[in-house]
Amino acid sequence: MRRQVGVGVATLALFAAILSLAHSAGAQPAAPAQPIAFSHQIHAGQYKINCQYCHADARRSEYAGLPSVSRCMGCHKITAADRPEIQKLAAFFNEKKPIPWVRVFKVPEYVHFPHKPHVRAEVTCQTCHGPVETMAVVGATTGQNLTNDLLNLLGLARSSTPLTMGWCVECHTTMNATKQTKAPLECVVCHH
Amino acid sequence: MKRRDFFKIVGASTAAAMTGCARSPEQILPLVIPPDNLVPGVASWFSSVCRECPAGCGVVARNREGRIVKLEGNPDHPVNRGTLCIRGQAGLQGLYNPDRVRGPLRRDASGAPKPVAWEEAEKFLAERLAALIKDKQGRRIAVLTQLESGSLGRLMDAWGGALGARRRVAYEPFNYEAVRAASRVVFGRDAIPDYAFEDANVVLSFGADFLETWLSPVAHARGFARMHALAHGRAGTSIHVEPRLSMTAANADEWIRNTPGTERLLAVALLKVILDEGLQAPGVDLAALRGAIGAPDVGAIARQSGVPAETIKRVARALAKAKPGLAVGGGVAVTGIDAVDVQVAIHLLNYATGNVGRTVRFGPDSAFGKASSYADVLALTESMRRGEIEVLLVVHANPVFTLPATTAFADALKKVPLVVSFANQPDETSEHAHLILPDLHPLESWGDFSPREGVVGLMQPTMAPVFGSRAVGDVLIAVGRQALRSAEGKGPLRWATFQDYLKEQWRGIAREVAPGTPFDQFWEEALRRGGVWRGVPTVPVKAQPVAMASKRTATEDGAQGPTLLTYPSLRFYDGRGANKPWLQEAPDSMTQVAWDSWAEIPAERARTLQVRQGDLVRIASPHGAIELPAYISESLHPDAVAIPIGQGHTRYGRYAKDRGANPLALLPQAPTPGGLAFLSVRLTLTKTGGRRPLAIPQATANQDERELAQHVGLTAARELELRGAVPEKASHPSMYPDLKYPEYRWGMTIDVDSCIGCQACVIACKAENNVPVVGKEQVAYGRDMHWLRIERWQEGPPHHPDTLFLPMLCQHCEVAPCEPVCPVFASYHTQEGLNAQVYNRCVGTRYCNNNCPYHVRRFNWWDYGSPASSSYAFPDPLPLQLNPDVTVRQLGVMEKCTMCIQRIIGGKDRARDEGRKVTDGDILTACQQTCPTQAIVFGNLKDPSSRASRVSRSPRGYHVLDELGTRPAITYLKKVTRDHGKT
Repeated sequence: MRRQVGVGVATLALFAAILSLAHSAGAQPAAPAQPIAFSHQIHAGQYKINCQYCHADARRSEYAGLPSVSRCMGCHKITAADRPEIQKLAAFFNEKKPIPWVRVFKVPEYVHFPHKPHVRAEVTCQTCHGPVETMAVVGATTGQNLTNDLLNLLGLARSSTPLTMGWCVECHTTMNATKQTKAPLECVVCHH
Repeated sequence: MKRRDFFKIVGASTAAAMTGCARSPEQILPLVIPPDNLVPGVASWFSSVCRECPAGCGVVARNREGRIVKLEGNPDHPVNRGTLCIRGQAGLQGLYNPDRVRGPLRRDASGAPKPVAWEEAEKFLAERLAALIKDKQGRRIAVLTQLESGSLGRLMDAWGGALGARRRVAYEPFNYEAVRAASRVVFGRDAIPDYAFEDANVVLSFGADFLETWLSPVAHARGFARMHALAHGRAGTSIHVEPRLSMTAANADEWIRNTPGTERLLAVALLKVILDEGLQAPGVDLAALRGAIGAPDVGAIARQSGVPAETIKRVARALAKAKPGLAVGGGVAVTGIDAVDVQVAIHLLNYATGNVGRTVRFGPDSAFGKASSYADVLALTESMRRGEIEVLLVVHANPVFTLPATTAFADALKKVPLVVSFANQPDETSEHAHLILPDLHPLESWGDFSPREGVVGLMQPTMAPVFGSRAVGDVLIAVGRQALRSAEGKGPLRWATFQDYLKEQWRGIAREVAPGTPFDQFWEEALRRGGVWRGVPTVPVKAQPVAMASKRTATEDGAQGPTLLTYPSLRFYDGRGANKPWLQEAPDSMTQVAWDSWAEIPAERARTLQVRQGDLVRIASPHGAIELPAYISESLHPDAVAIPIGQGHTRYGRYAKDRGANPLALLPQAPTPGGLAFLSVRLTLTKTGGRRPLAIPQATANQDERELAQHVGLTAARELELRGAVPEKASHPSMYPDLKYPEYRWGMTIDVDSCIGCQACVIACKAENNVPVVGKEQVAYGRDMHWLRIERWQEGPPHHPDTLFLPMLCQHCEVAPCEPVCPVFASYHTQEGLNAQVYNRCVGTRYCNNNCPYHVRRFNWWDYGSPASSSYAFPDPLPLQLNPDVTVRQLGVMEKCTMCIQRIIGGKDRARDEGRKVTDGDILTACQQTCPTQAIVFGNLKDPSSRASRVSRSPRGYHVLDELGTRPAITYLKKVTRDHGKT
């Protein structure tokens, strides 16, 4: 009897721990400070600029690509040129220096994720990157980590896409079954 | 924004990303201003010219994010038609060599090189030159370069003219001047002709290693393969005369082992037989020929050369009846004191059998004919020694290493007050330089090179300079102008940069080649195509009356002992390849020795000396002595000792250090009419008692009746071809259900008959797939990482074997023994027929390796991929070469051939963009792409009309170790052996 109570208490404690973990880490995915306070919410949300206007390599290349500083300046030479953050941008441009953006989304080095075939298959950017157009600061907690695993275990909604292999494969399988796509399931397509 | 700036920025961002792996957070740097048409992640290709030897093959360089990750042959280039040799493939390791000179250096009084600024270095040189010009002492300036047959050569001549310098010496260690001298004697034409192997029916080579280094090996290999292949019932024959079983000899249908130095006698005997039997071509000037050869005694020649008189007669008849045949000669190994006479006799042979104008073509002359003679080099050395040279500029030549030590070039250098080296790799010559002004690597440079008349390859910077080098042309223009105190746009050196000079030269070419086309358009097209080429008509030549100085012998008079056969290495050429770890690790095609040098000693002599393989032997000639480990050979002529040239560097970077000895130390310096006599000394061998075991990955040449490399007689092959009989496919019972391939089944065919064993594919594979180099010790343990190796098998009597080359790589078996034994499913079969290896799943049990009957799986015994490891295989800047499409494997992981899965994915992606299925030509594996003889075909076996399918149904097709029931996806085609000479 005492043992059963003990087990019950332990389970409750674990559950609480998971919830608090999920709240502390999961609900606010790691959002690094960027050199310029760029807001996707304004660009993609408010002004509805197409993702690929800036990330123009996504349909051509393995990489989605970041907009060149000159592309930013294409609008911001005039638009909001008086704001302090835009003046930071102009400073980078005038000094001919690239902006040292901090990387948010990354898969391990033994994974080859090509953007191009996904764009070709009309997968939306949000499928993998989350509702970026609602984020003032983009953050993500990706990969195999305890939080994601535990949340998954409990069947709770995840704060951001995990970009884990199981998650990729699940989507490929579902798409092939429902939309008759030919999303590859070979290991070596990504791991080579 | 200029393209160069783009590369700079992207290069910087890649470097940041690479060092950033261990650092958190990682940065992504965008371009400030993007260049047109360049997308990060998508490769761009730039055409250029390979400058690893003067053959001048066209290359295209694959640029990813601003760095070159792979070289391939330029498919449009008439010399190499898309393929490259082993040295060409390894050119990248010159570009990214960790020992490259990183900026200008000046040696101070203490002798230590100190970095200086470019401006300072240029000013220093300009002032010294100006002082000489002021005193009207321009003659005290000398320029020593490699063979430069394009604009750079012309610029340097103009520069020398403007400063009043001596005539430039264009030094090539192997300049084949005996051929050129003989052309002068026989045809009155000072040139080295173009040899059309593909048009010959019989090729007779006197020691010319035309598949390895001789003149233009890639072009010759293609021609040889076309000549030799069985097609429509016809197949050419190749006969090779050489005391050593070289790779070229091993590919011949008949190898005739002659006594060293008897090539001239044999050629004369052949002529005699042809004339006696009236086999000469119609219209040949008989009297002149008879006058030239005199009355040789065929019987005596047979005794002297060790070649039976019947063989001489048979070869003579074969050559004469070939119509046309082709006789070539004068590989470095047979360049004796009588080299010109050998070449005269060979020219006469071609003349007598009607080959001149058909397979021997004057007109499209080889650039080798423009190299300076050995005597010119000696004359310069002498001037230096006498103190007549005040300033010596050395541009891409390493005479301290490539000249015989007896020329004392190094001592002569010490008499020159200012030696300026433009070497971008430290070498034995730059060691003596007071000022080192590192030139750009050819892949970073503007330039052009003409390998033969009518073909000019154009070079453009394929990436931004890796280090702070400057183009030698730019430096010369700047320094020359400073010395002459003239301004830009004026005077004899008016150009702003070498690029301007090059463009000006090409305006001339444009006017000649494409009159009416706007220059900018012509220029852009030439850059894209890789140059301009046009047909050059064959110039008719007439044989002149010749008197052969038959008194000369090949070797020095009165000498005793075995003859030294020293020959250019397939991998290192004259030694310039020795600083490239890929080339060091690729085993020699014939001896299979990696990472070392050796002296090939005939078995009988080794027994007398009581020398075993790996014993150190002191090899002495009247001119010098070296020590090398012995390689015991059954096939080498008992009267010879063979040593490859190229190793024995003392100052050529970390990879070339402590790798044997330089055999050129044994040669005399005396010039002969044919240049430096490589085959002229006899040796004394003594056992030293020391040992240095050789690293030999494949120690045996005996197949033990396993029939890995198979062959079929020509008559039988013809019959099979006529009948179109498909060999019975083995039907071994299998407990597994038949595999289904929904869309594609990838497979490959390899023609053992075409494979010449040149190993270009081995290096192409290494470059494409980030395969690490493991070093001599690990190779000796059998832990080399080559995904693809060339097995060398021999049959028949050991002293005269038939050689078969078998490229061995993962067979991608349908019933793969490696797959069921993997406990973690890291090894599995894909739905496209590939045997896949998932690195991130592999836990390193090595069960798969133990179960693989082909021994093609490679295990990472050491951590080659992480910079912190002591076994790190990619010291900076070598990581810039790594293919971003392929994972760098880590410690404890199994790896093997993937059939270039990244290329398959790329090819499928392109096809899908165009809404079609993959067809032939969409996907070329790295090995297939570079193969000079096109022995490898990759393709979709599910499509019965694909080329790979069609070839795999050849009646010569077989699977290696078929009896195991592995059902490989690779079909080999049996070698077609000739009955020639076997009766």
